[in-house]
Amino acid sequence: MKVSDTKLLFVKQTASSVRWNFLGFFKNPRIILTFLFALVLCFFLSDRALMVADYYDTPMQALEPFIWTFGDATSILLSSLLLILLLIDLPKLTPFTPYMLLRTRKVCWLLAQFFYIFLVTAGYILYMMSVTSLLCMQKTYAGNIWSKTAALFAYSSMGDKFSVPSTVKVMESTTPVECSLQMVLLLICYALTLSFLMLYFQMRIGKKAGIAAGLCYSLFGFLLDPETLAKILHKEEYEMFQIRRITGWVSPLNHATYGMHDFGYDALPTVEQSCALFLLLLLVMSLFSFRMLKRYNFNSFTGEM
Amino acid sequence: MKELLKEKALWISTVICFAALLAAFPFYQIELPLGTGSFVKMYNVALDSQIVLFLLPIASVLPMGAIYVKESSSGFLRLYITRISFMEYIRKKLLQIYVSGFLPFFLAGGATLLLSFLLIYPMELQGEMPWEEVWKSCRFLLRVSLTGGILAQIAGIFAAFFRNYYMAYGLPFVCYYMLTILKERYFTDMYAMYPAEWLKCEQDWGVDSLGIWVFFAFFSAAALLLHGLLLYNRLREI
Repeated sequence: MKVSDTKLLFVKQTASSVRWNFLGFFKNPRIILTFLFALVLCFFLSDRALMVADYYDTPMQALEPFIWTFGDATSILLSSLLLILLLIDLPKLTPFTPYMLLRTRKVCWLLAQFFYIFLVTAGYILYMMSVTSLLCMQKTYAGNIWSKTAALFAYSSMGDKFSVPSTVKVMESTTPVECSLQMVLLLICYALTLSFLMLYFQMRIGKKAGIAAGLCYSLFGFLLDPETLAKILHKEEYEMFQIRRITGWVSPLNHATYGMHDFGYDALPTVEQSCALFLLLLLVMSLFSFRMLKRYNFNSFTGEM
Repeated sequence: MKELLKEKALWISTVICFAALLAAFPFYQIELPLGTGSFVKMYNVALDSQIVLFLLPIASVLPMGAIYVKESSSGFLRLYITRISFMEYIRKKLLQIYVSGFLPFFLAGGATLLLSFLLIYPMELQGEMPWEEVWKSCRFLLRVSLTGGILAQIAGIFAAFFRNYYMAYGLPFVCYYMLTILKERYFTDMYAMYPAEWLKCEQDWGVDSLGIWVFFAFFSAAALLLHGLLLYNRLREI
């Protein structure tokens, strides 16, 4: 067999495994319900931005509700909890898996799991973005320019009051589309690390451990929220910059929060640095998973481990 | 009814509802001397809170919303149906499910009203008992409980249709918020299909707000009928 044929076979086997993972995906009640819950969550979270737009009767750019909603650590945390529900059944084991493993290599199977996670996560984040925009569509316009509502948030204390992350620096340096794309990238990276961590623990210890790992990862991010940490450590307002700097680098949740990046005010990570850190974390997790797979005991093919 | 009252989930739901009403109760407003009727006003604040609105589609479906899935997946239904006629089973389940959605808020609301009376009334300035206000609160509680009954029935419909726990417990919540989203974001004049309005009854529902009771009667009957038909079809498959 030629090298090119082997490569092609590898790709084909991986692709068919990915397809197999998606079989019945859109008919799965848990998946349907998670996406519906995500819609309700977006409705709750986008409420505060819309409230101001309604009050002042000012328009918003179509992607601004998403930027404001998911520029907040708590919103990212809540949406990532739904992602745990979405990926609760990883790795995908069905009665068909042993036959698939006989005809494909384990590496292809694991790669398929990786692609599946990536596609589901990216789809979920893009769905959140579209739904948030659709829910606020009565007040939005499509043009790639910051709105009057954004200016109201940025140039007054209203943004802080409503916990809407909107700063003058962001408005001056980017456009709404660019900003939301960066946010999507950060969210995907964060969600991928969460999913890969769950996959690793589910393969290593079991399903419950995977869920526990996902929840611990989220809890770790929540506890390292500057406001939460300041309350726990009884820090004063003037000490907040230190807390922000430390948590901005240490917490994965803050790496995923757009507002917790370097806009020239603090020595916080840049968006590129955060992405690089997430990729490093993903690489480590992938290596662990590959190692785990060599010793993985496929003892049950009933779909439950 | 005995079967229902033995259900632990019913009592857990009732306790959750009671805790939610207590959490929303405006204890911070207690400042002596209290005006006449303060206990009802404070009780109304608790009943009208966001927490009750949020908890309604959760607490009402928990006790028996997915009873069909539970009984059919465990194999109990197959044995049970040999000892009881189809119609008897359907009648029993429809009633049980409706009451299981109705009771948690009704019991918790009743207990909170009683507690409010016992705690706040002695602190009030002496005056006439505000019967009109009390009656208004009772009607509010009845509307909340009826909505709970309908939601439980909807959970039963989804349980019989999808035969899945996720759908039975999750879809009523989603439907409830879909209606809220439609009203709040798109059709702002569509108050008749707005769950919060069913409870508050602030818009035009006809003379003496009789329309809301007709609405509840019609909606309940439709849900019961649909659920009954679905259950009958499922039982025929056994």
